[in-house]
Amino acid sequence: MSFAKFFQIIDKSFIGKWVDKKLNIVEHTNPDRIYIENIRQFYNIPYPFARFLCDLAVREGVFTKHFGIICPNENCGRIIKSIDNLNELPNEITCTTCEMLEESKFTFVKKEIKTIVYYKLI
Amino acid sequence: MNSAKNLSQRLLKLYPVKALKEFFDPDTTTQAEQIPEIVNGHPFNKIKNFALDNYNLTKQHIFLFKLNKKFVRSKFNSAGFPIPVDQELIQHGGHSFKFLHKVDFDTTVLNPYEQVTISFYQPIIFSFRNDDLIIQATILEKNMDSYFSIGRRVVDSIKQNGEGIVISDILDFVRKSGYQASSNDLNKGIKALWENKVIDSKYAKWKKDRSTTTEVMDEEYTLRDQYPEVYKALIKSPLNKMIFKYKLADQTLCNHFTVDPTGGTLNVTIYPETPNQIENVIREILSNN
Repeated sequence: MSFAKFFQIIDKSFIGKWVDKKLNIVEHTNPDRIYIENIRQFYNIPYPFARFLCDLAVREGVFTKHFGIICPNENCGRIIKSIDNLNELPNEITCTTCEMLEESKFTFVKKEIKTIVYYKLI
Repeated sequence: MNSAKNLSQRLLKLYPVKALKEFFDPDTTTQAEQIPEIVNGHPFNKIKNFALDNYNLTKQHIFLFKLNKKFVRSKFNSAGFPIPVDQELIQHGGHSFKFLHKVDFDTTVLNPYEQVTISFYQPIIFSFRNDDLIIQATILEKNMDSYFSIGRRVVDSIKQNGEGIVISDILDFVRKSGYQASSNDLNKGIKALWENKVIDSKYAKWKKDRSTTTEVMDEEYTLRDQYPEVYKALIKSPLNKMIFKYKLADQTLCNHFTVDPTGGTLNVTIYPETPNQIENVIREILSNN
């Protein structure tokens, strides 16, 4: 499926009247890694609206929602692993990049883990 | 704290459990049980020989230098080397010298407060192959907490005579023996492996004309696969620290290795799967360089 259905969702809403940067999404966004900030920035809308639209797209069956587990090391911050549900958070996770860079800490327990939400176009 | 048995135990802890089991065949099952059993049941010389013979199963810092002329063994007097050499052998088309270097960590511990020196044996191998000098040092355990009882906390640990000093000693001796050694620029060798799709990068740091850029890849993604345009630009630049993933299905090279091509250093910080993998990485880089 293309972004077309997502555009339709937006067009049905009141903000669709002033949305005019649809092509930017197609050009600049990886359909497998759509962050709320991508949507917020392209449409220049408040963050809560962007999040609302993304979750609406999930309910409409256009997007799927995912969580990226982020390495807490300041110099890294990469997504170590993706999960579909926060219940799947592991008790412990190792960032192999930090291990290979010989950072002093590269294994993290659940309470140290942060996540970032992203969406995929179905 | 630093008895002969303590040092032997710390030395064996640098090796994968699988290797200890295959060589010493202990009766116990966990590493915590096996290492004391091995140390109590075998003479130090046997443990030392195991350590030196199997150094390519350890995690390593590797330093690559270029000599100004080909190495000639007959004109090199290893007897004057500042650290006694334990083994000398001809391997991989060159001459290798192996020894155990004693390293001290001055450590401050709490509960109760105490200042303790913890010593380690560090396997070090330096090899001459034509005009290449390769120094391999086993990476020592960094987590000093594991050497103290539960509840005690290490707040400071300073390495007193680390591999930097040994490398400096080796280079001084090489100079006195009539050779000039300089860091080997590995950009050509690494870029050839990358270009041939043998490896791809998970972490890349490289020089742009007026800045230094870092790209850290998420999950198991690799840079060239995901960002071919970025690859095309950076392949023209001097590479700094890089993490590479081996892309072929066999086990010829280490699954991952870290390299600073401009600085001439290579690190293997995850145990290799086979004894040949580290040697294969070195050979592939140098033969393409």
